[in-house]
Amino acid sequence: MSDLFPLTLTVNGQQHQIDVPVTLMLSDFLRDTLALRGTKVACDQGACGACTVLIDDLPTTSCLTFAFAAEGCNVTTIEGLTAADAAWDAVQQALHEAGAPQCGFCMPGLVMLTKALTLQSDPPGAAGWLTANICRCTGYEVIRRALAPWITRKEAGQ
Amino acid sequence: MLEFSGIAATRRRIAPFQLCRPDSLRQACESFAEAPGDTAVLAGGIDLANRLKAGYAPRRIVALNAVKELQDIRVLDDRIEIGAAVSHWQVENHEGLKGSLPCLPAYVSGLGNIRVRVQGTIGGNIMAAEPAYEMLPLLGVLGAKLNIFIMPERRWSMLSIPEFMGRSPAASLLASITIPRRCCDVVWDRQLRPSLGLVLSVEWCGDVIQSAIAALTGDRSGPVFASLETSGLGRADALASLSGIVSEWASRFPSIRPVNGPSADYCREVSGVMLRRAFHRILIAE
Amino acid sequence: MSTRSNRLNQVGRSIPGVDSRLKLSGAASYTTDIQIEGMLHAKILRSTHAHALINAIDVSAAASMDGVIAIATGHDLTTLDPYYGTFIRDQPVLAIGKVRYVGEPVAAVAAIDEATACRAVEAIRIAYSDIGSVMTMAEALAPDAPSLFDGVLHEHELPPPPINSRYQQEPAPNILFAYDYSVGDAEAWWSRCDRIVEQTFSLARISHFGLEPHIAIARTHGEQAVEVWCNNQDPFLLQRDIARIFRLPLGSVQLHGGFIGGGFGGKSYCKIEPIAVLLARKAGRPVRLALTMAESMLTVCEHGAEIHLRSGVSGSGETLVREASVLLDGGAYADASPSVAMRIGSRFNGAYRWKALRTVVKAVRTTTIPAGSFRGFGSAHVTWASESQMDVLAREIGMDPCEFRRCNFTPLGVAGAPDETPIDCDLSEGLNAVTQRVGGKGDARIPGRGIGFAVAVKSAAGGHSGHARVRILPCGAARIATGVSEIGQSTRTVMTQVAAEVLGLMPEQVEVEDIDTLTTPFDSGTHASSGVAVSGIAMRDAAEIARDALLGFAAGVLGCPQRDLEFRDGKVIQAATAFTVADLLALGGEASPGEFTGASSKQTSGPFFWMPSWTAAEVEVDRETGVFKVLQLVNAVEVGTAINPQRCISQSEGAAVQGLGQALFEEISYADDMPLNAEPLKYRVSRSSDVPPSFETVLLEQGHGPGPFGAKGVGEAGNLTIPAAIANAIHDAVGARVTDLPITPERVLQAIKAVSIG
Repeated sequence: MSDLFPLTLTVNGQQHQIDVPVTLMLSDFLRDTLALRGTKVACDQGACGACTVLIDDLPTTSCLTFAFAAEGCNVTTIEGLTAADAAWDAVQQALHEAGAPQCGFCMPGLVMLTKALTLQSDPPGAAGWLTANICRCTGYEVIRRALAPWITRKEAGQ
Repeated sequence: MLEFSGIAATRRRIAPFQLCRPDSLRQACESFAEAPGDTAVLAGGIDLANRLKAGYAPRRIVALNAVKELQDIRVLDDRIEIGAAVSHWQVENHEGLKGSLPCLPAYVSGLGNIRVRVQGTIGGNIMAAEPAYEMLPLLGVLGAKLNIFIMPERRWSMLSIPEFMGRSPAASLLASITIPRRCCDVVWDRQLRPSLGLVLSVEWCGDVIQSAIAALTGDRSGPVFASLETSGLGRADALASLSGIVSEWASRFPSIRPVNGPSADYCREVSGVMLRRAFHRILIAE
Repeated sequence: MSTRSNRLNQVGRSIPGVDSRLKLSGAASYTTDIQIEGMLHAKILRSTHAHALINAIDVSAAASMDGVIAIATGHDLTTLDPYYGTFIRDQPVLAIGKVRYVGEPVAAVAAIDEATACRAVEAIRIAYSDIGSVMTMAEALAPDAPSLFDGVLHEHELPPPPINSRYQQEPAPNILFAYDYSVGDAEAWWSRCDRIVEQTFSLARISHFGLEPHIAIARTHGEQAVEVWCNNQDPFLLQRDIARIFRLPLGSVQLHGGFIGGGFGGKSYCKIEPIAVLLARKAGRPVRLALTMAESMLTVCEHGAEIHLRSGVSGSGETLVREASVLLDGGAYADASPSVAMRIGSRFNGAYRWKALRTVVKAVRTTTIPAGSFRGFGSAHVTWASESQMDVLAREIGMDPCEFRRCNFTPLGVAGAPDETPIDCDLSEGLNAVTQRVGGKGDARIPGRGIGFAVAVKSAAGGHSGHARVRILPCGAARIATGVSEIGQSTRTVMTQVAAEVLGLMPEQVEVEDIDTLTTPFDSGTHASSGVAVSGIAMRDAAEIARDALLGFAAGVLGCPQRDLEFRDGKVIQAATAFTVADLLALGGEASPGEFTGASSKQTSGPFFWMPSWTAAEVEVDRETGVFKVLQLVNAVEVGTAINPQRCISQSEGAAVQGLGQALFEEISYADDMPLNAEPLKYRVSRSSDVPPSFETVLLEQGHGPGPFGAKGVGEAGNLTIPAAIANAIHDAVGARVTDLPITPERVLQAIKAVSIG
């Protein structure tokens, strides 16, 4: 049996205190322990980014991050982007209106990646952030079109 | 290297381990030294996680995220000191580095992708010993030294990059990287990564080349380095004899044998072209 | 008098996908997310040998582990019909007696959790004795090469050979299938050619790389029934396979299908699902078998190939005769190779007319990952060779490559080859669309830059059977059921728009049911771009039948002619009065039907429509390194009528970027019998930075589609033409011809040097 770690962290604004196996990855803590199944694990190697969540507002590969490594952190998942009044985040709205999702498996991770981008005030190479995540269906153009306002803004340093 | 165990690599497979979370470097070294052959070090965790998924089963994992000494970036008059557990993201955004050694944050900002840079550390990139990883070639041409706790001697050592690469991969714990501050121009060519990459540093004394060293990545055993033989070469002279200089220089690189990708012949030919172009860029810059 | 206008309300609208909210909020459930109470977790032990006899399997250590519930090996298959394959059934559920590729499933364990299953798999001991691998087609075809199957003729369901062709099963050692197609008198026409070009082309084996790996959850109900949740693209075909393999009545095999995280053909036809069923039967509990992406890459791939192509033209630029000899690397097992071979064999005419055609295709067995269905189904192979050579032919006779193509295009309404259905598109319009948009203005040619073109025509949607059912509910909303799987091609959205158009509803008033083979109408599979064009006809017809049933009933209740009534926004309209369906049902009293159902089907044979695509590419080549940049891609597709224009464009863009990957870097490599890069971290696919700075898709609607409202499918357009257009552009830029995919800088540099030497 694996050692247990007393994990305290915040997920989508809610505090949790749970003993978790040290071997547990953050992706599985979210999906299995907290039943937040919006985060997907695709490649399980960190190549594709489908499992991207935010830790302290930065895009993080949850299949490569131990749950214990998120101790004391603020984790945001795709479920956390919907406001209390069920209003969508602007990034989701933009992707929706552009008709972005096809098979959709990459979308939660991609939404979180781009959400992180919008939270940065002036990140270097912001337009290049999109290369972090793989989509096999869309060819990225529809995503780029949807996110153009933010990427342009980031490149202008707003 | 060509391992196929017949069993899928998956995070579900990670074998139980004892987790140590030291809050000082001394404690970290002690934990590590107790069983160095059976202990893994966790910084960012990218490479370790993938190794664990593939069946690597160390008895103990020492997590470094609470070790403050490993998280610092210090800009001093003659050198930069970077803790091994500093993330690429911290380096690319560090104002002090942008002012004192701008090639470093600029280079790091193009490494991997944003997820890798947020999670991965400078030290982890070095210690992973992956042929395509990009910190070793840059640090090598900058003349960096690694402050490293080596086993079984249980002592600290300052190793140059070639010295580090020359060691057999015995267990060790990297604490920090020291980069001398010199008057250098650094350029890189990443067009062909991960198959072939080039980093070039030219150190000047006025308009005279003190030294120049280039690193090529792509070989399965890691980056290879070669220095320009002629020092004391002036800018204009170097430009005038560029082809000859570069041809001789490039010939001293060992053969690049990629794991998967272009042939050694292609790498030899194109690395010469890359070197010539990179050197030319530096020579004609103001 | 009908008050309905001819204007379409829902068809032609670029609405967001009906599943978009679910997918963007993380609420969309995939098979990966399904939890079945009491389910066990399965892991597979795969072969580490390319070609070996299995001398012994020792599962004792694994069996005695706590938490291990069931273990299955080839020994458990003796009472079953254990082989599958699209036409030729040679692939065992688990290896029987020998292994034929590194990665082949040999044993499987079901345990209380995945960690236990992994530990158990590690504890299984297999004793192999190597019998010599054949890792390339050349090795497989060498005299005295070890043979994967010793002359065994497997069970098959090969259809009669299409017209103008013959085929043979297992004609020679390590040749699974040989296909021979011939029209016209090639011999006679060769002697009349003014110019003949002969080249050899190759394509590397590539991976589908859908992000959701293969997964199946199986739950038995006694000995004779099983329920399966999986992400297979062809649930009704899989249902048949499972029934046959496990000797169960078809009706007691129930498959559930929902959202699929990427298909591209990699989830077509039987794959790893029977292993889950096998374990579930042994364990007496539900079993979830979830592969990793790396395992999916070891399950199926797209064929590598060598193509020897010879074409002859007249001096005036008329395409006369073409002969192709193709070796397809089928890997260790047949999968869909026979049908891919037949498709390749009969389509070397491409977009043009020839006096004579002759193709010989051999699907070769090698001890490598089985190759199967992949977007294009052989058209990528044909187009790469055909369109590269069209360029060479044009230059041979001093004609502009586009003019040469235009002169030889099969015209609208004419058959491209004897016994083919006539071409249903204007190929010149598409070529003009891309030629007009590519390249800079002005005559000055920038050194190192070049422009290239390619045209593909894929035969689509033949041999398909699609059924649909529509129910109009008392609330006036509709529920529709189709057996077409949602793999991201927006079938749910398009079917919704078709049904909504017929029923006068808004898309929000139409709900698409998940697939359940017990209740969903039959569909012969989500492939060949048959969803909209064929199954969409069934959907349209079913909606009309349901609507007419409602209006017929309403007419009876209201005592008026049916033609005075209209169904719109969920209500029945008579002049200025609107009746809810519930109102009408109440008026009907005891004899009221409660709801209104329509069911219909559509079957096709032969190519049902033609799916053209055109690409113009501009590249810039670095002569010293062979490194090149794709500066601009202009893609055009023709969809008959676009039911949802935005989704047609997005799908084409995705196909193009996938084709870009095939053109530039995708390749599964082997060294010393071992796959070098059959895992996501090592296999390069297109990322957003690989998309050219100028990338445009033109959507043409020429109105000749046979599907609902004149629609065609567009699933396999966009990727086929990319590699040849780029190779042609490189040739235009630096005079160097690359004939092997992927087009690597090294190959470009070699080609440049070959020009200087020659």
